[in-house]
Amino acid sequence: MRRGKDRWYRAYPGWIRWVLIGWFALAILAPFVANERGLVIRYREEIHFPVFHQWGVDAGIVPHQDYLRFRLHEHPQDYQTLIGPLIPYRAETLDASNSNYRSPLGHQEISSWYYRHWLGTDQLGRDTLAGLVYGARTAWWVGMLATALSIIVGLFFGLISGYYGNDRAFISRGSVLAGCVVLLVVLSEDIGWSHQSTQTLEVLLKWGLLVGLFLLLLFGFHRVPSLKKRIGVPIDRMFLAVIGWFKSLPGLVVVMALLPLFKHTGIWSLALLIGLFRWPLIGQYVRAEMLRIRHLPFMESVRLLGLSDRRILIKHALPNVWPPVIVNAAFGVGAAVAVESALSFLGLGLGLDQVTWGTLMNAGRNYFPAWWLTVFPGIALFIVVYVCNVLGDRWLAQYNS
Amino acid sequence: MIRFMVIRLLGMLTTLLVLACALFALYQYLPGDPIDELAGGARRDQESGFNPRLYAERYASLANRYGMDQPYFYFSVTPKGLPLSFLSIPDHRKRALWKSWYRQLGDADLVQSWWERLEGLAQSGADPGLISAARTALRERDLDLALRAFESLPSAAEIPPSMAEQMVRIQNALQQSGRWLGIAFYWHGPDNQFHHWVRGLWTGDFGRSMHDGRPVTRKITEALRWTVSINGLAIVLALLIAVPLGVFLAAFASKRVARVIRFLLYAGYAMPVYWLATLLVVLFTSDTYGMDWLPSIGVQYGYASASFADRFIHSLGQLVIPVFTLVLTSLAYLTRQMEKSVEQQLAAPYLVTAQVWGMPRGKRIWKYVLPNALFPIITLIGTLLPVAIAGSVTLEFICNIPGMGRLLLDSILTKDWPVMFYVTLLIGMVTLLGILLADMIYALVDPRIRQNGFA
Repeated sequence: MRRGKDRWYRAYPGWIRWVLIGWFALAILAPFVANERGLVIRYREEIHFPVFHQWGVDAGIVPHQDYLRFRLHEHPQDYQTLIGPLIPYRAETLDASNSNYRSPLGHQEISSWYYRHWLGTDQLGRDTLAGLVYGARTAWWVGMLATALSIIVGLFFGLISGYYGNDRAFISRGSVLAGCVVLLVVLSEDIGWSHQSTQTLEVLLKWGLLVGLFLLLLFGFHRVPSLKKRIGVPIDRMFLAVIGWFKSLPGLVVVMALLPLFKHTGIWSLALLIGLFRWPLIGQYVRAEMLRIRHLPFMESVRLLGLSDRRILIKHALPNVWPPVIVNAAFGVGAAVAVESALSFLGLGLGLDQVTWGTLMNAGRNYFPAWWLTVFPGIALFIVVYVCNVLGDRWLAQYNS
Repeated sequence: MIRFMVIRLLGMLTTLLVLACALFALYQYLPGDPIDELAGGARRDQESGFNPRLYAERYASLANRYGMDQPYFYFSVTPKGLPLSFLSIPDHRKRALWKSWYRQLGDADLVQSWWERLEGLAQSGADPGLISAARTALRERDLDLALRAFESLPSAAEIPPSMAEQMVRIQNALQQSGRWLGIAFYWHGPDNQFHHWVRGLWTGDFGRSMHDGRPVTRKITEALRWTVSINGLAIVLALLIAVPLGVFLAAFASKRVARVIRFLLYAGYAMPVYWLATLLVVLFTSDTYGMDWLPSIGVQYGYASASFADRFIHSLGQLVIPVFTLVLTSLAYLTRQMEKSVEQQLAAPYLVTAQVWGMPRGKRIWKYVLPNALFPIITLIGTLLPVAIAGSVTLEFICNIPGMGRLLLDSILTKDWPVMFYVTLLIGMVTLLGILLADMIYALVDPRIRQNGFA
C-alpha cells in the first residue's frame, strides 16, 4: 500500500471535504450557532456566558442562574448582548409574534435584521433555519452511531466467519457440555429459585458459582479422553444463514415494526435499529475479503509461525479488510440519515422533543403554502445523501482500479 | 432444477419461520394493553360512566376473542406452584409482573390479593400520596422497592391494618429469598397464542383487527392490490424507459450528453423519495402555486360497491405522483445496470467478429447485443421489488393510498398487533419471493448455480 498523499481513500472531490467538515461543525457546535441566549452578555453590570452556562447546567456541573430564562428575541430588561449567536433562536424557541407560517420573503414582526427568520417559521413560530441546524446535529449522530455500530458488529462476524470458514473452527465435546450445563443452571436459576433482584451480594455469589463451574468444566475436561474429542463448527455456513435472514427482510419496514418496542425513541435506539439492519452488508464484504486473503502467503506464514488467532486477525487481517468497510461506511451514513428522516417524517422516529429534517418536512405537508418547510430540509438531506454517495462511489472506483 | 428449487424454497420457509418467531417474541414486549383500550379502560379515571363489572366482562370476552387469554407457547417451564391461570392473563405487563411477584413470594394467593389491594387503593379516593404509591407499586417488579414506596410516605397517609398485615407477610416471604421453589413443566397443546398466529399463515385466516374489528385478511387483500398495482406499474414503466436509455447511453450518446443524463439520473437516485413526492404534491395538487394540474391526493375508495379495477381507473389521476416518483428512483439504478451490461457485451469478441464481417452497427446492437444484455436486467426485477415496497411505505403515506405501507403505519400507531404482525410477514414474504425469482432466473441462465443450490 502506498503511503502519504496518494492513498486511495484520499481521492475525492475537495468540496466534499468541506461539506463534511461543515456538517460535523454544525453537529458539534449547534448550540453555539443557533441559540435563544447570548454567547456573552452583560446583565446588571456583570458579564455572563449564558450558552456555556446552560451547557454546564445541563451537565449538572453548575447551578441554575436567573439570567438563563431570558430570550434574546424578547428583548429583556437590563440585558445587553455583547456577542450573540449567528441565529438568535433555538429549534424549539417559540417566537409568538411570528407564528402561523411566516414566509422567508414576506413581512416579519422583527425589531432588526438580526432577528429575521431567514428561512421562515412554522405554525408555532419556530425558526426553520435553527431547525435545520439542530436537525443536522441529529442526522450526524444517528448516521455516525448507526454506521459505527454496524462496522463493529460486521467486522467482528465477517472476520471470524471468513477466517475460520467451515473447516478451521473446532469445539470440544467438553465445551459443548459445559455450555449446556451453564445454560441449564442459568435457566433454572431464573425459574426455580425464589429470588429478589436487589440483593446484589447474593446474585454475585450465584454468578461466581456459575463462572467457577464453567471454568472447571472448561479446564477440567482435558483429563477425560471422551470429552476431549473435537467437533467441527461450520461458522461460515452459520454466518451465511444469518446474513440471508437479514438480507431478505425489508429493512425500513421491520425497523418500523420494531420501533414500538422502545418506550422512548432516542438517537441511540434509532441508531441501534438502523445498525442492526446494516451490519450484514458490511459483514458480507469483510467475509469475502477475508476469504480472499485467507490463503495468501503472508497469512499462511503467520499461521505457521504459531501466532494466536486473535493476534493474526487484529494485526494482520484487519488492516487488509479495511477498504470495503470504509466504502460501505460512506454509503451507510447516507442510508442511515435517509432512514432516520423518513421515520421522523412518518411521525415514528425522533421528533417529539427533537427537531429533525423529517419532522420539518412533515410540518410542511400540513400547510401547502409553506413551501420553505418542505424545500430547505429536503435540500439539506439531499446534499448529505448525495455527498455520502459520491464519496462511496469515488472510493469504490479508486479501490477497484 | 427441481432440487435447486426445493432447496431454495426450504430456505425461504425457514427464513419466514425465523421472522415469525422473532416478531412473535418481540410482540410480547410491546408496551400497552390493546384489550384494555378496546374494553374502554380509558374511562376508568373518570368519575362517572365506568362500570367495573361490565368492564371486566367485556375485557374477558374481548381477550377471548383475540386469543390473548392463552399461554404464549406450546409449553411453559415455571416455578412450582405457579397457578395455570397466571399464564393466561391477557395483559402482557400484568402477566410478567405476576410471574415475577410469584417468584419473589412463592405464594399465589398473596400475589393476587396484593394486586387487588393495590388496584383498590389506586382507584379509591384515598390519600393522594397513597394513591400514587399504589400506582407505582402496580408497575414495580421488585416488591422490595414497592414496599419502600409505601414506607417513605408521610405519616399522614394511613395504611389500613389489613394491608399492613399483607405487607408484613410479603416482607417475611422476601426475607426467605433464595429458597428453591422447584420447577414445573406445563404442556398447553395447540391452544396457545403462537400456534394460532402461525396457523393463520397456513390457513389464511388472520383473525380480526384490534382497531376496527374487520377481518385482517380482507384488510390486507385490499391494501395489497394497491401496493402491487402501483409497484408493478412503476417497474414496468421504469423498464420501458431504462432499457432504451441504457442502450442509448452505452452505444449512441456523445460523451457530453451521456454525462448530463448520468448526472440527472444520479440526482434522481440521491433525492429522498418522500421529499420529491411531497414537493410534487405541494406544487401540483392545489391552487396555491397556480399549478393545479392533478386531482387532490387520496384515491377513490368511497364507493365500496365498485370493483377494484373501476376504482383504480377512477383514481389514475391520483396515482400519477406516486408512480412517477417510484419510476424516477428506480430508473437510475436500472439504467446504470443496463448501460454496464451493454458495455460488457459491446466489448465481447463475437461483436468484433460481426464487425469484421461487415454487419451494420444497428443490426449488431439491436439484434445481438440487446438480448444478451437484457438477461441480467430481468434478474434485477427480483431485487428491485423489495426496494420499491420499502419506498412505497412513505409514498402511500404522502399520497394517501390505502396500501400495505399505509396499513402498517396505521397499525403501528393504533397498536393493532395482528395487522402489524401479518403485514410485516407478508412484506417479508414478497421480498423473499422476489429474491427467489431472481435466483431461479439466474439458475436458468447459469447452469453452474443449479448444481450446488447456492447462488
